[in-house]
Amino acid sequence: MELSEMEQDALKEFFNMGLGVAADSLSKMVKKEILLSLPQLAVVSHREAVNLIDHKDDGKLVAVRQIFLGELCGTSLLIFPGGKSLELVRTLLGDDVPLETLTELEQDTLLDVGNVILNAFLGSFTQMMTVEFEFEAAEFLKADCESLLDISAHRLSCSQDSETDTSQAFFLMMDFKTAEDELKHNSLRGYVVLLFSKEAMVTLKREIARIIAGL
Amino acid sequence: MTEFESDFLLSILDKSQDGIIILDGEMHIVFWNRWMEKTSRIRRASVTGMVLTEAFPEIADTRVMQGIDNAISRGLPTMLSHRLTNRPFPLFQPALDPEVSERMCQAIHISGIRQKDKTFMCVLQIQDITTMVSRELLLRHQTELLETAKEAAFSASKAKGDFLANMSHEIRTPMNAIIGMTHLLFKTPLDEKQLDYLSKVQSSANSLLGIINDILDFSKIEAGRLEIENIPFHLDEVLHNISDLITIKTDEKNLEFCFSIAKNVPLVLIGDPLRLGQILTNLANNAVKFTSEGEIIIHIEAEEVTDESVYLHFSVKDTGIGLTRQQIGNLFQAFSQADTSTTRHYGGTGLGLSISKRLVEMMSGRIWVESEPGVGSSFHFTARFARQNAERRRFRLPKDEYVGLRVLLADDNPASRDILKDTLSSFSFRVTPVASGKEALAELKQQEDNPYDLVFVDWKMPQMDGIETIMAINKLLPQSKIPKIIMVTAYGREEVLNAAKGVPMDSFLIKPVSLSVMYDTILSVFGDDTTRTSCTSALAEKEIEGLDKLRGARVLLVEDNDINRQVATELLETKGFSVETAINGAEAVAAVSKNTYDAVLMDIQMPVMDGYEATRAIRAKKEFRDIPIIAMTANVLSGDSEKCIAAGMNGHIGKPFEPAALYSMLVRWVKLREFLPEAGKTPTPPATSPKVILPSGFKKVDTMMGLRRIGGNTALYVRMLNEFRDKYRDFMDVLRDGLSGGNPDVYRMVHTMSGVAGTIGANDLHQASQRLERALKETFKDGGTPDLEPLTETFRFELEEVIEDLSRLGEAKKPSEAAKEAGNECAAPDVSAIKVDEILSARLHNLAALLESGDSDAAIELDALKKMLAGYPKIEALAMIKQQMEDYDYDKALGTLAMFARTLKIQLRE
Repeated sequence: MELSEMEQDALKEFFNMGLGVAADSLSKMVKKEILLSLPQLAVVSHREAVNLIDHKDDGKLVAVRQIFLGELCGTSLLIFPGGKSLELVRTLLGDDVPLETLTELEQDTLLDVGNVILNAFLGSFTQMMTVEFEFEAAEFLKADCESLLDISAHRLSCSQDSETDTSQAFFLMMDFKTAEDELKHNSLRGYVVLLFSKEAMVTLKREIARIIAGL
Repeated sequence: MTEFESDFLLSILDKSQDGIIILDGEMHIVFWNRWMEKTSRIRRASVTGMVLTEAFPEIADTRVMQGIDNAISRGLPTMLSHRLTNRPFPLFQPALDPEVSERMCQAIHISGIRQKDKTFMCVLQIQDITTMVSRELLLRHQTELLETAKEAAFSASKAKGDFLANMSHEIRTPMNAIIGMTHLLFKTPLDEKQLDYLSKVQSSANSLLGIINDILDFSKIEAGRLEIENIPFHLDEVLHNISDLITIKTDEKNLEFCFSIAKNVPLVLIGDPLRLGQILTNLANNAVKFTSEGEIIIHIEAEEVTDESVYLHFSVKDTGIGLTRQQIGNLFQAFSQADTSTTRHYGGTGLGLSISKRLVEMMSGRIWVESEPGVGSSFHFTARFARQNAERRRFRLPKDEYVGLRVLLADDNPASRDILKDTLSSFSFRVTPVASGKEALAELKQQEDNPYDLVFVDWKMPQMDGIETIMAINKLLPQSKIPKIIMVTAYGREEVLNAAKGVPMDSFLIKPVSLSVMYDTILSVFGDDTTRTSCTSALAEKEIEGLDKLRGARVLLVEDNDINRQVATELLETKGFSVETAINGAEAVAAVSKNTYDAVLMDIQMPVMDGYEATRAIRAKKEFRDIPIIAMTANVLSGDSEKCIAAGMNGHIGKPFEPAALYSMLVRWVKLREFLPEAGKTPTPPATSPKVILPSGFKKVDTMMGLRRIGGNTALYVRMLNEFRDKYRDFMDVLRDGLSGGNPDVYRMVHTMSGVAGTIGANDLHQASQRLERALKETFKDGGTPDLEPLTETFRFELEEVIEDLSRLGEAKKPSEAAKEAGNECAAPDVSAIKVDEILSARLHNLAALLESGDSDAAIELDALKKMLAGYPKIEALAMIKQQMEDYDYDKALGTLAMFARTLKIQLRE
């Protein structure tokens, strides 16, 4: 399913609002200026999404998941890039802690951050909708890219989808930067992915159309 | 919900192990569970209906409030972690005394619950994670300790590496002096005992150097600084070097040592011959160490051959004590040996295998071991090499006349027999292997009508040994039908020479036999090559091609250590270089700007100004841009040679250096010009010229041994033999006079002669004179009365035999003149006036004698003569003699020779 340019722009607008909120909260949390930007937004298939994510080391990726239920049901994921750790994470956790070997408390910290970012997105995303949402608590996941992006892997918690439904995803690439990163011109890329079933996409499209009409 | 139901649910919440607070849409506290009462020490009744911030004023403006707002306004959940919101609520761990109890660490989950009116209630769940936090703090602390310990270990290891590198430099400097001085000492006249001590000094010094090198290699591996060269080399040469090193040891232990090289192995390769040799030597040394009887076989086959490269599989197989599975497990680790008791029993650093493993990996191969305790071990490794020229054949195949040569091979050891058979077959010979001397004789008898061309006999065989077999062959067959005989042995050259005195054989080979040596030996036996001569000089000192052209070249030697300076100076002067010295870089720079040199040999670490700086200073002047500067350094870490090059040096040799390495460097860099030997500085003994042919066929003088003792200088050796003959020809008269007159001087005279006899290789005479000397000492010094008569008689006999041998050298001239001519004879002779001298005359007489006895050595002698007379108009006569010899018409050849000699005004004796 394709989104028109107009529809994409509208979505981007929502997400950018969320991004501002998230950056603000994060900056307060770490007492450091955090800059977030959204260089890419696309609606992609499961396969395309897997290809888009940089997971060269083939290891497991670390992600924070928040499932939302209700009339529009789906899964939101914040995927931390494999390999190098984010400056943000370093700021939060201290030294260069490899994401694969986090202690329980370190996982909690990451979960906290992921929660703030996803809340900001979900908040602005759902704000304009007329449908009602229920949100589940944020969860910490370690999985390979393939299954992380497969909606059926999240299905147990999202029972409304029919079994045969294939997933589609909103794929958002996000650049994390601290003020120091900005000076050094380095940024690290994280990914926010919203997974919807085909059925849910229909609902979503309808909602967006309604919002655009109302603008 | 009925009242019962809601009461029931609330009491469940009271049992919860987490804190639970329920707020309505205006943030009023609706519920506060028992856990909250205990940890906040505030009763439920006193907070119900209060706004949360009234109960806990300190949480205003915190992330808790933000989370509550998110939940109430949009239903969004929030999770607050310990690190980002540290202990938000004033809650305390249970304790009897509230004053000492600790504020707890908390993890908080906030969620919104949708009401029927679409507004949200808010639930806060608070977890006590104090224990988890302290556990992780402990963990972090321990990790830090580990980290520190690891860093300490790393830096200790680095310090160790640096220490090793420095120490090995410190150790190598005196080692250079020891090895170099030993080398020089070998060139002085020595008696048997001194020679023995000295060769032990040499072998100990070499093995000490080996250990130092192992340690250094290992520290290089640890530092990741080990590098592999890629240079063209010949596989057979690598094997030859190994055989030199290992045979000494296999001899001592009476072990067979064989090479078996599959036909598909190309021999001309590109790689690191030194490192390959190091691996093979290491494995072979181990094999010898752990084997008390049986054999050691180095087998090589190609697993994959393309035009560009070859993947070789090497194995070193022994019949030693073998290894258990556990022992194999930690074999390739550094410092480890099969087990500690083995270490004590067998010694060694335990570094060899781990170094070999690393080297093999750097050659894109792997190393492994197959072994059975009590049966033996096979160490295998593979390595990839580039090929030099795929077109080039492994060997010049023998001339057509030798193709299909019939060879009988007698060896009792099946492994060694198979290998020899394969090798011989690879030369296109037809080989019949048998397992004993008896079988060999039977085969020869049976095939009398279809005779063998060549017989290979192993020396040490049960029942009938090689010498007995050869004797029996001589009896069995008529003289004209006796094939060429080569004895093969795992024993040392001198042992064979002693044992085989008077045994009619054509040549002998020492196992392990390298392909090229075997090939050359066979051809020489058939008189097709002058290899025997070159063999002899190879025994002495390897000739460096082009070195003699550098005689007279001026070399500046810069070295601060006076012993090393002496070593290098003598090594250079021996080869006719004109040497000047400087003891530091500053002196070197001054010397270079004053005089012209053909090369500078530069030590690196010196006081005042080091080698790098000196080189840079020299190179800074335009006119000295091209003068070759060669570094001599005991720093052998890789990277040093780059430093040398960067400083502007042309090359680099490591200390302690092999004389050959030093010479090769000079040959490589010194530019050829007319070198003028300086007045008053005549080069000390002229370099060995392979063209000076060593007299052969002596019964009582071991010329190979004698030649080696005087450093391989053939001309000098011939001169010494002449001197000996002239001086001691009438010694018996002197001795008898002295004895009858009771003159104590005879003791000193015999003592002196004994030493000289030992040096020239007259071993029996040496022994006889030593015995006589002892008896004379007893007579004259200790007042004893031993029976001198039998000793004198033996002495006389041996002396006469030696003098007879030496008389074949021809009539004496003034010895100094003879030597001069010997040294100069490679120069093109004046065509009109060939110098008729004693050597030429001796040659002709020698050749005549050989022809007379039908000795195949005549071919060698003839070739030598040909070279001597190059340019002489009547030389065609020699070709005719050759033809006659090939037709086995020795009488006719002798006649032709006599006629030829007359043209030179030499009358051959009848």
